Amino acid sequence: MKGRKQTKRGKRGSKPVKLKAGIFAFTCCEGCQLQILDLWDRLFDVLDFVEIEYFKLAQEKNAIREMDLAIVEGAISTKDEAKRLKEIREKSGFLVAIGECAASGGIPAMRSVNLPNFKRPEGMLEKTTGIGKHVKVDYKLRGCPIEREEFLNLVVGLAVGKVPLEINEPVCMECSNREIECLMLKGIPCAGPLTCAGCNALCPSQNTPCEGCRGTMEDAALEQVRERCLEVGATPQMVMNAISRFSTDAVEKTLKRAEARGSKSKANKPRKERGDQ
Amino acid sequence: MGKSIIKIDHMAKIYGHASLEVRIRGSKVSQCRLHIEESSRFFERMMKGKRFDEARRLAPRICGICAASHNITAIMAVEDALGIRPSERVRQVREALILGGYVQSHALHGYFLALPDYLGYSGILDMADKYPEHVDRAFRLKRLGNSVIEVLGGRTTHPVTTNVGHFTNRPETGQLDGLLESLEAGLKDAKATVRLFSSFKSPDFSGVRRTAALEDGKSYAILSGRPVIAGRMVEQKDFLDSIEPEERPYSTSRFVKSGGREFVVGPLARMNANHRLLCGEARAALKRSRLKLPNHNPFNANIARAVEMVHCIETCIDVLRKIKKENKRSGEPGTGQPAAYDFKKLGGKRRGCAITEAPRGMLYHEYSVNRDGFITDSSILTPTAQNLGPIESDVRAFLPSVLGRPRQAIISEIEKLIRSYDPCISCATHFLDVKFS
Repeated sequence: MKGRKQTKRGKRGSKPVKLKAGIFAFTCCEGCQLQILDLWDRLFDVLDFVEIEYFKLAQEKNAIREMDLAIVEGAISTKDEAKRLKEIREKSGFLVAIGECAASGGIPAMRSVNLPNFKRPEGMLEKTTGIGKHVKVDYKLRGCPIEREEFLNLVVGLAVGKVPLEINEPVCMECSNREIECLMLKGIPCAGPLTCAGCNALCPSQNTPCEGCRGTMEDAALEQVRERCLEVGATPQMVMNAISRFSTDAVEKTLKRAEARGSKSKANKPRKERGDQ
Repeated sequence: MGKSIIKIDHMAKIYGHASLEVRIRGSKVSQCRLHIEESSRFFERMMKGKRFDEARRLAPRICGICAASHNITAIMAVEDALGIRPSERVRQVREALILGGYVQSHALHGYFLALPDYLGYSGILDMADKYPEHVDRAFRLKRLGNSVIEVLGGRTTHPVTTNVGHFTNRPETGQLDGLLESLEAGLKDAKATVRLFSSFKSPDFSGVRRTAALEDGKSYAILSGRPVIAGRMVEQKDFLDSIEPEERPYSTSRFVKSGGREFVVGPLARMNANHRLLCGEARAALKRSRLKLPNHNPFNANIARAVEMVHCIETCIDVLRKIKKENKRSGEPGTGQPAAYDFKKLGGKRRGCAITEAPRGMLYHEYSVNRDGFITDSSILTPTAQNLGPIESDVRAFLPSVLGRPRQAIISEIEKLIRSYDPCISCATHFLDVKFS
């Protein structure tokens, strides 16, 4: 992988080599780029080992040249965007998707479920998706918006040739760590059992059900959680709302599969769901 | 000078994707088009079939900068539809939350997007060596706005504690104390910002003269009052009817007019309408800035934003003190239970709307909710969508006065003008009509 070669360079020298980086935005709310600016003074620490060549939101002079690190925000919804993304991929060593829009399509991707057959404006792709559908993604920073600390960790890590592990455990783990009372037990449908952790259970800690903003885990027990939500008194439509906000794709597929099988079995209820009960 | 074309592709330092194309013949502008290239996300359609309390989660995702405004406006529109009346204190905290959003949005625009233009830099990050005091102040103000949202709303960008009828979590006195301290310190920074921006000379120019803002006659209206468009007051529910949308083939966002003519929303419009109702310190700062009101020079919006920052910080201090007092009287606040609404019993008119003043101007949300509590229809009109027309007209009117200058200077002046509106293109592009085949 090109990226690994580049980042290794920094490891050898005593002083890290400055990474050339670009920050790009596609279909999104630009909230994740904002998190980068919100690193405040620490942003200048980052600039000690990163040189930002493209950051349209924050500087006038921008150039897409060969770069070590491309940071991409936003989903891909038009042919133009797909083309620009491919160009960015070709010129970059390591490509990071920041935010749920880039990582999985996020909220813009909901259009493929909510608007199945409408007349698309010219140039618009059939589906709005995360950038992974178009190019190879080296790392995903999840969340809507991203956690600033995670971004900092990643960039610092890359500069010294290390890539942090991606988290694949549910928000429930963090809820039990923090001893937060399970909302599901109070009868409130919560996307926590399905959602990648990493936010330190931000919403449940504020008495708000998890909205799933860090995307659905790869091996999420969608069907079981759906049944559990129905048991606590949610309507099917509410459940769909709660678990389909982010990662429309995964939810769509799994639910279809479940329907096809007519699965009602509760045999393999996942441990993680019970974790916080 | 014969025929020439000025094109600014993918303009930098605005939110979202837009380009400008101007055709010039002799000393006349023959065509001026603001190409909006942001792709639509169809938020209004996405709301369909969602439960009433989903709007508050989806709406802030329209815009990462004024997420708090979208969030609160959506909630208020849903409350209007369901006939739910939150308490006065909830309303005040919501206002403080939005004003926190103002502080961070105005700091971001003023220092990160506009200031580098005036000091001749590409971006704020390059200014750190020469102007450390400006950069530090920028980060302090941005952080201050963020902490207001974080303490009251639970998360800086997309608030989580705000809900229909109530807040799910309320700040503790300890948190409030810390925030109050930084707010009091921030007042000085905000005043310095007013001084800074009023020290730059604005070009002698008068833009679109019709302005529109909320007015309630009692306060610097943010969450209350009725929209007044060029002197004509309309009811909130008639706002959309008093506006004519216009499709333009080169833009993925609609342009809007009222009574066949364009109107401007935003800080200058608010200042024109309500400057007498600003808080004390803000009124003093406004006086010192020598900004003459009413004012129609878009470049002066930068000063208006700085004055608003002073006002926002003052108001936030006031509200937080009130919360603290109440905490003291009735003990530490517990967390509110998510209310269970019985939709069959709720009166309401099922179709409700709300207008608030977002940092960039009037923001309109409208929802229809059915008997089971699900949204059946929605409309959203963002401030930038209202400002797109005036931006175009102003560029057209302003250009002849700078045409004699070198090309790069012309471009930089036009960019300054466009940026002074603080356009948020990602916001503007969601109400493209969806045609079903």
